[in-house]
This record gives sequence, C-alpha cells and structure tokens, in this order.
Amino acid sequence: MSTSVDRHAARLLRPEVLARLGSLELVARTVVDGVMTGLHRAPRFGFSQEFAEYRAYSEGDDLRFVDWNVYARTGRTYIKRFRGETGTTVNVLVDASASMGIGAPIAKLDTARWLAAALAWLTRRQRDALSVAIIDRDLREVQPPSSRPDSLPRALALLERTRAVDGTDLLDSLTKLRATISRRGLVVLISDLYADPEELVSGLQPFAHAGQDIVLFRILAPEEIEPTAARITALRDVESGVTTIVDPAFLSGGYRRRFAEHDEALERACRRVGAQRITVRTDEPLDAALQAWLRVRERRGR
Amino acid sequence: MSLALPVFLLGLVALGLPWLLHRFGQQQAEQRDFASDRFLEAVPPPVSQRRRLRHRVLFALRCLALLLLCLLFARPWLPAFDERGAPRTLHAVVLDTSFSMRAVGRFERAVEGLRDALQDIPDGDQVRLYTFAQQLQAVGDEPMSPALARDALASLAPGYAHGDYGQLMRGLDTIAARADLPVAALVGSDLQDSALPARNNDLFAPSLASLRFVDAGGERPVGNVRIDATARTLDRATVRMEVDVQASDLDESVTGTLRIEHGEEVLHSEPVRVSSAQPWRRTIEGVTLPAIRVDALTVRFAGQEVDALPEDDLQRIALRRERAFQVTLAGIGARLTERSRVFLDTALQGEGGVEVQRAAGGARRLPDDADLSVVVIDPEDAEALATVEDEVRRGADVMLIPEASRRALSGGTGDEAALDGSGRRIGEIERTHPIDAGRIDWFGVRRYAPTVFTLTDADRVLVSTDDGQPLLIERVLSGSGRLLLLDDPLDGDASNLPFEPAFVELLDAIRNWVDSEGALPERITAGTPLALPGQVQVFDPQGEALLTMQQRSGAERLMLSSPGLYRVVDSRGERVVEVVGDAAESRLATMDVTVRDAWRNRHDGTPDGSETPDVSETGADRDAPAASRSEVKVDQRWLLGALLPFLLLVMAGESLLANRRLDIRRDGS
Repeated sequence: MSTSVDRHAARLLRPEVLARLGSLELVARTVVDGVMTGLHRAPRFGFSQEFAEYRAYSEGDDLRFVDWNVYARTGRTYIKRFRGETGTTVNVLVDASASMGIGAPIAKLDTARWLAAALAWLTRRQRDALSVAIIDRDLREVQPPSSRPDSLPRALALLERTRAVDGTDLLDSLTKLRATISRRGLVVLISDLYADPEELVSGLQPFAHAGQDIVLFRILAPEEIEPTAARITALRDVESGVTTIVDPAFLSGGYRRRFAEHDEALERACRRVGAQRITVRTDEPLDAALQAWLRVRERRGR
Repeated sequence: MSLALPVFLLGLVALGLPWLLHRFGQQQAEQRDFASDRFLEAVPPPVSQRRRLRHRVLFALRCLALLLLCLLFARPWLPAFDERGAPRTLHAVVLDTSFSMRAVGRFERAVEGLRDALQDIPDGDQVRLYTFAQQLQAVGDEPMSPALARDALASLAPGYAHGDYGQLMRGLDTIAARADLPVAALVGSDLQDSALPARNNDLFAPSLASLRFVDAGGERPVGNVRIDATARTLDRATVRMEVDVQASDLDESVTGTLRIEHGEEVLHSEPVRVSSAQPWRRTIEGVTLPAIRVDALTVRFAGQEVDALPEDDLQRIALRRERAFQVTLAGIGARLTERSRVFLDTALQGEGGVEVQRAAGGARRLPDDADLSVVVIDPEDAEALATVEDEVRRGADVMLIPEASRRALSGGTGDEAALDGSGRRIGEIERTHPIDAGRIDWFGVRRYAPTVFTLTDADRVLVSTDDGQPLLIERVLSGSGRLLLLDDPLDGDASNLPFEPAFVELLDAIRNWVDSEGALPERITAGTPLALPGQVQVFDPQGEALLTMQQRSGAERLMLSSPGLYRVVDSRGERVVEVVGDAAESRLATMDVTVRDAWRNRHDGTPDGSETPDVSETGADRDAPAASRSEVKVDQRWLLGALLPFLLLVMAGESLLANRRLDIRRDGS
C-alpha cells in the first residue's frame, strides 16, 4: 500500500507535472505532501502537530497559542509548543535575475519558486517564522520575518508574481539583506550561483558570523551543465546581453571543465562559511532537495 | 517593346534581399539565450577563401534570378497563351443606365458603340458585362464571350437613378483588384458633367489596366427642361401648387405651357418662359379640383421644340392634405398649470406646423382629432390612468405628465444632489428606440425631484437620470396608440428641462415618432432606398404589391427605382410616397473634353502594352493596334524562348550552390 502511495507521490513530484499544477500553493502542498508521505510520523523529523511542552509566555508570542485553560487554573500564561516546533526564523532568498529565466521546458526560476514555496510551506507547518526576499542586482522585494498565519499566503503571492529580470549582484543584495535579519535562524539562498566564489564568501560571511545557518540551493538547467550544439552557435548572456560565438567542440570540452572548476570553487567557498550546498536540476524531482533540507532541519532541531 | 505592367519593376527592390542574406547570413550563427558567459570562450567561425568565392557566385545568381523574374512579370506572358485558348484579359464592359441615358439617342449610341468595341475583342478573352447608375451591377453570374455580351446588351434598358462616376471607378477598381487577369474597362456612357464626383482622385482606379469610353453624349448644347411640383389642399376642393420649371444647357430661353391635369381634364394652364439662367417658379393658389375624390395630379410642361429628355417634363404628384399637427393639452382628474402650458406651447410651436389646443377641463375623453394629447394626471389616480390607457388602446397617442402639486407633495428623497440644488444629470439613454433620445443634447438638463410614476412590466425606460430614476418611459399597450410617460410636471421646479433646448428637441422627436405622415418621406429620388416601418405593404404605381409576406415582416429598406406614386399601407392607413427622377440627371451637359481625357489618360496602359484606342476612331485606325499586337506576340515568343530557360538555368545553379553551402554550414566547424 505504502509503495503505491510513494509511487503516486513521486509521480506528482516530477517537474513536468508540477509545471501543470499552475497554483504555487498547490505545487507547495503537492511537493511537501509527496516528500512527507514516506516520512509521516517519523519522530526524528517531528512534523506532526502533537503537543510537546508548555513554555512561559513572553512578549511578542501569538496570543492564540496561549493555553487559556491553564491560565484559568493557574493564573499564569503558558504557550503550547508542539513537536517539531523550533522557534526558528527561516529566511528564504530567491535569486530572480534574468539568468534564472533560462531552462526549457522548466525554467530555473520555476524550480526555484516551487522549492521556495515548499520550504515556506514546511516552515509554516512547523510554526516557524518565515521571511522571503527576492534578489537580483538589488534587493528587489522583502517580506519581513513573521510567524503569523498569513505569512505563508503572502509569501506565495510574492513568489507567484516574481519574474526573472535584470542582472545579478549577490554581494550587494546579501549586504543589504543583512541589515533586515536580526534573529538567529536559517538563511536559504536559492540561486544559480553564477557569482565569483570570493564575492559569495564576502556576502555570506556576515550571516555566518551572526550565527545563521546557511543553506544554498543551486538551481541548474541541464543545458547549463552539459550544453550541446550541432554547429557554431552564438550564445547571448541574458543578463549582460553580450553574445559570444562558440564552437560545439568547446561546449563539450572546455566549457564543462570551466564549469566544474567553478563548482568546486563554490564548494570550497561554502565550506569556508559553513554553508551547506545542494544542487537542484530543473529536470529532476524536488524530493532529493527537500529531503536534504529536512536533514538540515533535523540537525538544527537537535 | 514596352512594359505592360511596369509596377512589377518595383520587385527589383527585392535585389536587396540577396545582399542582406550574404551580408548577414554568413556571419550570424544560430543564436540562443544562455545563463552566463562566465565560462564561454569566443571562437571565430572558420571561413575559407574558396567558400567566399562560391558565395559571391551564389549572390550573383540570386540577383540575376530576381532580375529576370521582375522583367518577366513586368512584361506579362499572358498573350503568348492565346494560341492555347487561355484568356489574357478580362474586359469589363460597362453600360451607363442612369436617368440621363434616357435622353434622345444616348442609350442607343452607347449600346451600338459597345457592340462595335466588343467586335475588336479577341474571342479568347473574357467579357464581364455591367450596368452602372449609382453602383456597378454585374449582368449574369459568370464572364461571357464577346459575342454573348453583344447579345446581352440588347436586353438592357436605362433606369431613373443618378449616376456617379466615382462609384463607377471604385467598383471597377475592386473588380480589377480581385481579378486574376488584367482588367480592361470599356464604359459606354453619356459622360455627364453632373455625374462627376467632387474629387478628381475618385476617378482613378489604380488596379485597372486600361480605360476606354464609348461617348454617347452627342453634340452640345443638350437643351432640356425639367418640372418639379408639389400640391397641397386644405379642403379637398382647391389646391395650392408650388411649381418649379428649370432649363439646362440652353443657348436661349424657350417658351411652353404648364398644364395641371387630372386624367383627361386640364385643371389649370398657363404659359411659361424659361432659360438656363432664369428658372420659372410659381405658387399657384386656388386650382379647383373636380367634384370627385382626387388623390394625385399630373403636372406637365409642353411646347418646347427641343427637349432632349421628355420624361422629366411630366410629373405625377400626390395631393397632400395641408394640416397642422394637432396637439391637445388636457387634464384628467388634475390640472395643467399655466407655467406648464406656456412651456409646452412655446416648445411645440417653435418650428411651426403644430397647432396646440386646450381640451375642456375635467374631460374624461380625449378629443378624437388630436395627433398627440399631452395629459396631466395625478399618478396615484388609478381611474385617470385607466382612462388614458383605454384611450391609447383605442388609437390615441398620449404623453402623460404628473400633476405639479402632486410632485410637490411627494417631497424630497433625501438625495443630496436634489437637496443642494445641483440636481441629477441625465444618465442612461435608450438609443435603439425610434425616438432616438441619444441625438438630443442633454448636457445642461438637471432634475431636482424623484420619479413619481410607478413602473410596470410594460414599461420601457427611454431616458433616466444618473441615479437610475426614469424620466421618459414608453408604456407598451395593446392597440395602435402610443403612450409616453414624461416624469416631469414641466413647471420648471422639478427640473430645468423646460428651459433647456433639449426640451424642444425632445418634443420634436416625440412628434416625429407619433406623426404617421412623418414616418415616411413624402418624396424620394429614384434609386435611393426607402426606409420602411414594420408590417407594411408597398404598392407600385401600377398597383402591384412589392413585398412578399416574408418580406413584410423583415424588410427595412426597399429600393424604388422607377418614378411614380407608391402607396404604403399599414394598420394606420395609407400613405403615398412620390418617387421622382434625380434633378442632377436632368442637367444633360456632358463633361469637358479635357476632363474626359485627363480621366482616361490616368489609365492609359493597356494589357498588351499598346496605346489606348478610342472607340470613336475610324475603322482604319482600329486596324493599327491589331497589327501591333501581332508584333508583340512575336517579341514575346522570342523572349519566352530565351529568357525563361535562362532563368531556369540560373535558379538550378543557385539551388546547387546553395545546397553545397548549406552542407558546409551543417558540419559546424
């Protein structure tokens, strides 16, 4: 029984299926439910809504979670906590530069939005505070951290209207974002990471120093990892507009070597700032990425 | 040799196409968007010296192919296909059937000239026959042979409509634009000056290959006299006649006799002297009618020695009743205030032709002879309302207005716009109703009080204010009468409508709507459509019904093409519409020869490239173009034999080289 459910869930997680769902909320629910099907009630991840403990009320807590029965009996205000609830703020940063519009039939930005929506869904399910920011050359739009129930629909709406335009300046965007993040938590950057590794380190280091856990989802389209061409081809950089005429032989040799070198440099940079990097291909299901994410949460929850 | 269709030389502009291909095609690789050029390394595509040379040859071949194609199309090969029986030209043969062609000898000359011209058309060519007055109309559904067209000309006759050469050329241009073959037009017409369009450019049909005329106008001057008259009676015993006799294209004045006749009986006769510069216009009062019912009279001008168009010397006219439009102001269970009466009187009588009377106070019946009754009632007086509705069912046309005092008692609505005096503007207007209130300028109208009439299911709101309150309503009842509810006591307090020009326009529109005589025009020109109200029958001057049962329910416009008195009959009675020949057609003067030549010279190219022959030329002159046509055929055969294989060779070479070039491109590097 569970096998057929898993197969059904896995089928739903395929990018071409997700692309047809249309609504980002539906995509997020589908992805999360699909991933959670196999993990349901696994206590180590703790995503059930089972009661865990009471905590004394402190200023800023949502009054709806105050247990008024306990208050009636004891005269003290306590907040109910549930299993899996960590009180973490999850900051999801989505790169919406023009390069994220690449990819057919699934653009990288689509995959990024689905992933961000799924993370947002999981975050709210765990009653954690959620923040979503859209970055490109600048800090395009920021939804400040909030644990209110409407933070999820607002985040989904923001992701829905996000389009891939403009260039990328990760260093500048991260520097500006740093000022808006005060509470410790998780910083999730979803991007194709076409940036200089040193700049990336410069941009992420302040977060690491502030005690933030950093997770980088690198979204890549197959034609970027293994580009092919039958003849001499002019490739136009969608962000700079510069066209480069390339030889097919170079694409199958020199390009892949340079790409791999950059990937290794990124890996080294991530290690320097203690960030975890997860590569997500647009032609592959999102479950691997989400399970990696859950492992990160599990470590943090410990 | 000349180019028959030089416009195809514009195709030489396409020579820029190979240049563009060779200039940019070699350098532009397949272009794709890419995420980042961070890892890319530019590699210039290898281009060999040999390949460049080949491309130049390819370039030259492509240019040559295009050049040859343009020359071939500019010099059409259609004549060469004559020998195989295919047509080379479509001849549009047009016969003018406007009223002026009824002038002595004109139509016969046009038909004869066209028949002669058709003899010169090769049997293999197609001929399409058209008649033309206001518009071009095809005779038969398919093109025919010249011989058949000659026969078909015999069955045509002139009509009474006004000709318009602008419409003719627009029609010919459309035909030529849609035809597969070059279209040569041959127009048999009197080339009447008054049929020229206002703009010279309307005489140009760019798609037409050639234009020739058969001039049937004859010699100038073409003297003609036209009569136009109306007859009105107050008492059906005497008639007041307005008579207008006009002459055109006469060198000197002519004399004749005007006769007003009923059947064989001459009711009035008097001498008339008229010239081109001095028309004869008279109002003849007191013509005594015979002691029988007379519905129509004949007015005739007789005695002129030379009159090219006798048909416009006589006119059958309907005897119209001279009677003002009667409006009765009445109150049923209510009283019309003096102010309202003054406003109504002023607005109704402003343009004349309306007679306003006051009915006896408190009457429960409306006068039978009123064309429109304006009735004041208390909207809450159900009995008064029922009385009015009964009158409407019996055939009365009524406009109801509420009593002013009742309006005052109903008080305000709490509407701020009403209370502060700024009032409500006119909002929704029903534009599909025949009253057509949308034409009225309601801009300044403001309403200060709410609606007092209660709407029913039978009501149709024609005008309402911007807050949705109805102002003018039609209540549709059974019977032939009409009921309008104007929700305004017209006292100047409830609204400023009585002070506004819109009030006069509104009453005028209502009058036209209820006036059965005004629903149809008294007179129209032959060849123009008559707009018909619903459910009518039309009888022609011979008494034949023109509409079938199906058409009676659906017909909205009827084309009346012959002059005479047409009877229009419906449930309201019988009305007579006079159809007369167009006055402009009676001015028979032909256009100046310079105008005619300029018109023709704008279309001086012929399909076979020869000069335009004038069909009025002698027979010896006509032979010359035929000889030149045979020479052209020889030229064309030579060209076909030499240029076409060369073109094929060039295109084959181009294809071969282009394929090899593609092979080079396909291997990538």
